Amino acid sequence: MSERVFDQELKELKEKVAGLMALVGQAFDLTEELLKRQDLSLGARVAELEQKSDQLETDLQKKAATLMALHQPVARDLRLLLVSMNVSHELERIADQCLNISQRLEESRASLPVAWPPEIEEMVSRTADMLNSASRAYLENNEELASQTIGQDIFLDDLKFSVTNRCLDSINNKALDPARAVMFILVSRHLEKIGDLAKNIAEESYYLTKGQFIKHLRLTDIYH
Amino acid sequence: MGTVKKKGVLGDLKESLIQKIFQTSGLLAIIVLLGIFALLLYTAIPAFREVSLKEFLTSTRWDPTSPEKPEFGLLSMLASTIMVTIGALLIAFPVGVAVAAYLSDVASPRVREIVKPVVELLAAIPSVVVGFIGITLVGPMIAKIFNLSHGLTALNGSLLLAIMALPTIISISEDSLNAVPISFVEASLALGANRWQTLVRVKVPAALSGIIASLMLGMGRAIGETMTVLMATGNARAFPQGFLQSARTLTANIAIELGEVPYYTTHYYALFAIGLVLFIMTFFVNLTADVILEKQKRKLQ
Amino acid sequence: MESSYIAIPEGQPKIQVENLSLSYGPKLVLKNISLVIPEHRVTAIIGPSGCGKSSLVRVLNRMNDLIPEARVEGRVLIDGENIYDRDVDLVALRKKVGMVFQKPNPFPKSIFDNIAYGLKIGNHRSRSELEQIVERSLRQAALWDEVKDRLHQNALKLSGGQQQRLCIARALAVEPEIILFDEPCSAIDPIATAKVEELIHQLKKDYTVVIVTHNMQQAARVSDYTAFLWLGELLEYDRTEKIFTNPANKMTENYITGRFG
Repeated sequence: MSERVFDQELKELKEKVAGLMALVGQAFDLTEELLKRQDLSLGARVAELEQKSDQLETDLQKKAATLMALHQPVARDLRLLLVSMNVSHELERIADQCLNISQRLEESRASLPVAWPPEIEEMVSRTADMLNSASRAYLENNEELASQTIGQDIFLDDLKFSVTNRCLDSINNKALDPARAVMFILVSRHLEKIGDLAKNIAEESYYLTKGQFIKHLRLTDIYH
Repeated sequence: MGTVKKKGVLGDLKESLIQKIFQTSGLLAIIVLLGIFALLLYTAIPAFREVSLKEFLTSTRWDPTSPEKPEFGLLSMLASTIMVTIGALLIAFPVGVAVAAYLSDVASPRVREIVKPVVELLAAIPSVVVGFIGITLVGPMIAKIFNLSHGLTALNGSLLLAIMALPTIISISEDSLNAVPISFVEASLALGANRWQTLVRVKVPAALSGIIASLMLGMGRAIGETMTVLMATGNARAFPQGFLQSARTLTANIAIELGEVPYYTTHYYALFAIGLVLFIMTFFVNLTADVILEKQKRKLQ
Repeated sequence: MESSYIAIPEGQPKIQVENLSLSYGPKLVLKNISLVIPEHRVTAIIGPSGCGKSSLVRVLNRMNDLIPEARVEGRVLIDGENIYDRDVDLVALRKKVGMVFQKPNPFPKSIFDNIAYGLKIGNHRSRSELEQIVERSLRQAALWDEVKDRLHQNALKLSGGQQQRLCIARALAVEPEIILFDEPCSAIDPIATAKVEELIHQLKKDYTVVIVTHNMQQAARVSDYTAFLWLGELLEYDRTEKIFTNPANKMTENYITGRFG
């Protein structure tokens, strides 16, 4: 089977998505560090990466649209293009969420430093894992990894609820400064959102390899 | 990288030489044709010093050796020629087209492989031999059937000419039936036509000009044929009264008289004038056939 | 090689091909093919050249009978009747199953006579009846407006695309139930192709359409079901959208994405 010119183009497209993944991964790592060290100077870097990711995503969408128009792809070529467009969009939104987190910290500058509730710490590490495995599912056409990633999302939801409840309680018994409590709630929501987006990437990756849409299905449907 | 420049003078020369050779041979054919025409014209014209063109073309009496008043009217012989020719085509055309249709549409490839060369071989029989058959076989049969004293009649000539025209008619008709694109046949069959309907309604109409051309070429063959008619038709000079009478065609007349005519007499020149008439007739018949065939080729492209 | 995947379409089956093999002399052209072609749908047959797709479609109206050494095994049922039975009337079959060929092939006759041809060889009809049917067929083939003022002009004077639509009108005139298209657009330009494709969309309301095409995008655009033939074998048959987004067979995928063929 011969390598087509189109194959080369698709490969380049996938490399671009990989580049965007690396960039967004970097933004997330910085955010993680920012949360740990609470060094607000890191926020500028996150903002910078977020801007770059916007630019990369636009490039990718253009490139994919061009390939569609010129090659009229079908089957797995078509799926790769569609999935790459969607994945790059989700990645860009993850970068947005990182920026949001750094802005929440900036807004709460006065209350820093804080001790994070354990749930948030767990959320950070779980989100990092999901982002990592979703990216690999896409890059390696690994539907196993994709399904695993999708399964992880439910824990983040629980953790977010738990953070919210704990903060509301602390506000009620005045154990915690309300400004801090609100910041915790918001940060947990941003992290949960990142998990959601990583889950979307995993779903896209599953479609890429299996040709089946699994969005909005329950877990039991996926695992039969 | 290959060059697109010419490969020296020698290549040029070779190419132009080849072109010249072909040009010359083509030209030669035209020159020969014109030469024959000029010769005929040159030798025919002196006849009209003594015979008026009107008399030559409209008088039915041909008696060039009469001691009182020689007569040079070719109408009787022209009528005989036309009659014998038409008679021949009336027989050969339907038979020929039917055989062509059989060969192109019905016959299995094996049958076609045998029949086609046989038909073409018919054309190779010398006309003397055909004439011989006319005298010994066909003529007596006609005499017997129609109760005549002898069979050397126009009908005999027509029958023999028909045999001679058949190969031309068959092979050209079959060629043009075969030249009808298979796509027409498929279209017709796909619309629910059977083989017979396809042949009659699609193939024959599409090949019609070729079939007509075959008729014209057969006609040319029949008009020009000499030896067979000379031997088979009895050669009476009178205006032909019917197919069961003896008849003398233009060609037979030339063949009979040219051997004995004194040179450079009006009679001699008049025979050449007849030749000229024959030449013009066959020329136009063949030309028409060619034009029709050419048209058909373009139509079926 | 992976196993083949042959779906059974929804809807009323019009043509059922059962264990069909076709050989030309010693050469096996179609190998044990079974598929069901649904009524009032467009079914496309795709595959690389020489895969037997034209042969398959020519089995359906027995055009292969023209080839002396062609031999057919298996059954082809149209409306439940095996068209390879001994007592089948070929004329009736071909009236029921019309065909449009690769190259436009109008007869060298007038536009009118081309369309009236199939009617004239059948039972006799009055002139006014003929005129009605000619107009109706030309309208169905979206050609009426272009030729209504020159019905008695030679059909060969039309453009290639018009000639092909004329051939479609000619096939429609005998009121078939099935129309076979054998690469109908391979000899006409893209604009004319678009018109023919539009026409095929219209036709499926009243007819069952089978189209052979070497143009995969065309199959994707016009058909409801797609069959992929490879070296005389039916490797995949499924809904067109399934074939073109997520084919079951690797060969199908390689072919439709242009990796070979």
